Amino acid sequence: MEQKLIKQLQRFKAIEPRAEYTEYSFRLITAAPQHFKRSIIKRSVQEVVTLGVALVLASLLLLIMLSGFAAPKASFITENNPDFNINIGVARYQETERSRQEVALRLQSLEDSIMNISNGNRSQLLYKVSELRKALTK
Amino acid sequence: MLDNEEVLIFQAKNGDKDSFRQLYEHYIGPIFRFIFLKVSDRNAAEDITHEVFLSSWRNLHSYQSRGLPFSSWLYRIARNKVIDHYRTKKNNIRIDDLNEYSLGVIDKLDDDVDRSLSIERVKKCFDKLSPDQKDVTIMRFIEELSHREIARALGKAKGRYA
Repeated sequence: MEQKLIKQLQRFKAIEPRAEYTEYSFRLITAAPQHFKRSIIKRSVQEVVTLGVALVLASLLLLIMLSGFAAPKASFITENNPDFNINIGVARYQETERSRQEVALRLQSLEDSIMNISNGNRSQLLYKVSELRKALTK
Repeated sequence: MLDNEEVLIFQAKNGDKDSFRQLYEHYIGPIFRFIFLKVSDRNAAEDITHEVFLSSWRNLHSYQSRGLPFSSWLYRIARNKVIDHYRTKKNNIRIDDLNEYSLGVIDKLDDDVDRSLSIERVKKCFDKLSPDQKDVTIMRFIEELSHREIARALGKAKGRYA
């Protein structure tokens, strides 16, 4: 029984592809490029890219490490440097003075425009401007 | 296996079409049969067989003969292509669709074969096998591959595929 079954199965060996199909298929297959040459280029490109990425990452790591160590040192110098503190104070003063002058100028121009108003609110507005001027000079 | 198979593979790897033709002509029959018995459709079998050999031609550089016979490599590609075929098409063609005309074996009936054990019954029994069992049956009893070749084609250790 088993032998007969095997014999029957071996009859399937008669299955063959059509001759015209095999020839046509073969021509199409061999007309296609092999991946071999492309793979060499691809591999070298991949290697270059990998190396580049590795170098960039290493540089970044190095940069982070170095700047990480340098940061406390810099702040230590600046915080304990008297010249630095003086310069900061001067800068702050100049900035405050500049804005104070700007505000005074704006108040002046506001006062001029109020003077040109003819209705009864003028005195009230002038009073408000003088209050602001007082606050600025404090 | 061809006598000078390794030489042919080496030359084919370097783009030699004549060497690849010899490999193709040697293996097209078994691979086509294997696929045809799995998909039961001549047109689909031709398309898949074409894909198998196209893939082997394109990726020949990746084939390493160490431990993997060329036939096993081709069967592996064929198995994957058949799986892809069923995954994409989802057409469950029954083995009953095979007939003696499509098999082309009607003229090759052997007189001493018990006719009561018809080819239809064999097909029905074959249909009941799992995909792996079908693979082993085709490779072992139809193509008469060695245990090693079958094991390598299935990606299993020798003696563990049965």
